[in-house]
Amino acid sequence: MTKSKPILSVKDLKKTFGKIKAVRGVSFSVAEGEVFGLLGPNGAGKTTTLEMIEGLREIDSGEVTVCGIDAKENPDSVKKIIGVQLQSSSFFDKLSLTELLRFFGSLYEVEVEPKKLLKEVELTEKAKAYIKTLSGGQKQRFSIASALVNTPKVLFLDEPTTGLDPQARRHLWDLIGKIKKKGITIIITTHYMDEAEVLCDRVAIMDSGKIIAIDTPDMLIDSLIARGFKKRRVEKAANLEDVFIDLTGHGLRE
Amino acid sequence: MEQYRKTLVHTLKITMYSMKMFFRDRTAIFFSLFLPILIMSIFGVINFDEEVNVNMAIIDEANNQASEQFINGLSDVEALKIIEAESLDTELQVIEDGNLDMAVVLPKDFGTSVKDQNTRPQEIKTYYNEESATSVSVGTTILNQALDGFTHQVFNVPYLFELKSEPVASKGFSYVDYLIPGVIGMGIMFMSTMGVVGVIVTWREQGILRRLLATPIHPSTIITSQVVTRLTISVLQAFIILGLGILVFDANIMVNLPLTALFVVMGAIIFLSFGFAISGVANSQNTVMALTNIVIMPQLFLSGLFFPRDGFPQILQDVSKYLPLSYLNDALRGVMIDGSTLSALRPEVIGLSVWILVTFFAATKMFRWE
Repeated sequence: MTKSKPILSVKDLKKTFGKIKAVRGVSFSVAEGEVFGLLGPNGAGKTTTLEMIEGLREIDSGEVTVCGIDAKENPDSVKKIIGVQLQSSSFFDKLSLTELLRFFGSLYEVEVEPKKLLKEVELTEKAKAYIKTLSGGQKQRFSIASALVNTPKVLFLDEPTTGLDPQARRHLWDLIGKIKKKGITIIITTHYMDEAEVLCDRVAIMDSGKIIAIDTPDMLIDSLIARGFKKRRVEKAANLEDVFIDLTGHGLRE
Repeated sequence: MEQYRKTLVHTLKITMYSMKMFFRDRTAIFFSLFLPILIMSIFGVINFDEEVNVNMAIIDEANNQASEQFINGLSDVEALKIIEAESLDTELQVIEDGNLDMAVVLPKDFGTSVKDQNTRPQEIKTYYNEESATSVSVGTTILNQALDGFTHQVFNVPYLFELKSEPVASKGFSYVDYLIPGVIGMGIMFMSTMGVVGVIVTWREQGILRRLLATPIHPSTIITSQVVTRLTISVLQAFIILGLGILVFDANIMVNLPLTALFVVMGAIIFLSFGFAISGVANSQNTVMALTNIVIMPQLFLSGLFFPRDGFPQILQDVSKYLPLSYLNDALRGVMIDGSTLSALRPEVIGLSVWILVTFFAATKMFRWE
């Protein structure tokens, strides 16, 4: 299944909050350079799984290894080599984007080149702006820039496109594609299936704290069809989103 | 070694950015700088040592040479504001409304019924406002003196005594002098306790804290940068208020910057610890406000910020002197007004040190990030 030695491996990971079993024995591994998607409805345990890997939540039981480092024993060492974009997290509102990137550099004890990072996420003209003046899509792009200050080996994106309009989503997909080309492994959660189909090399579908399917998007679709699945309505050559993009254009509205 | 240098450099950078954030935050600036200055301006303008003024209405029923002379004599007295009125009833109403201190009636035969030294004294009726006791007593004294003087004049009796008053220059201690150490202490309390609570709660609510915790930075570095930032700003704030007090409000205070800075830092550590302890136990904005007020309000009113604690009931005096802000105020007043040395302020140093130990311990026990 994995082409090379996995850069991330998770074995029988579990997390319980009081009586709620949020994650109930999750196992998967991700190869270097892969884009891996964690899909699932709200409350499936995607974010909790990510947070345990990222060192933000204690691991109740199970094993997590990132680049050969045990995340349970050395969460701080893991934090040094990963980049994290959190769901609905914000930044200080009294620092400019340039200052924020330098600040985050100091948190990793590295020097950063804010100009280069902002160019990568197409925010060059916002270098001196405060975070609150950015649009939703720009905020997410900046959040990704902040996750790249330590040139991470693995990048975690938790629902990066939630709440964005179709143009901003497509723009973010392009950005994620560019980051993948640089050889950075990406773990992404989403509940947009079209997004997973476009971005992910492999996906794991989670429900009620468990992985119920794991494969490439193509294989998952093929196996469903092989089981005799038929769409109630035959798909047309385009869908409503295609119409929307065709009418309003690819240009960003921000 | 190289690693330590690197960590130190980046810790300094983080501290520098947290200072930048403070100076760009208008609410923080308001509470730490403008509020103390505002209070100083308001209280500085009110002069509590002002002389008493007496509003006195005179109903001149006599309207003769004697009464005219008498009224003219009274008009020369500075403290009196004489209103010549027509009817007593109207003036009684004005007194009832609280707009007049006293009314005097000069009877029809004022000064004319005098035959010789054996004449029975003539009755002069005054009506006064019960609420303005000080003005009334000053007014009555002046009236008595004026009537006595009038008697002496009429009978040509020589005065036996003459009072000579000589002013003696005092140290020139004014209310603003008292106020400045107080508002410095208040500014530190607001900036430290409210500042830290505000920052931590906002970071927590906006998910900034989680984002910070997703980096390898040790949480203690973030706390250190916050503490260093706020201690620096406290000292700066104290010096600015001190400078403004001397230059703008013409305060007459002793300047001892090292000792002032020492007490400011001691006070700031206590109030920062309160802030960290509160942000550790409070989850919602409401609990935060309630707990912050429980810490701040009693000290605001009981620590002798605006008025000396001597005026309190004895029990309150005995209790309030142990408040951290009381120790801080007393220490700063000692330095700035009495020019005390460190050894003379031993009780305050001990008091502040005990509070530092207690609150620091509470902060380390109670503080948590999430």
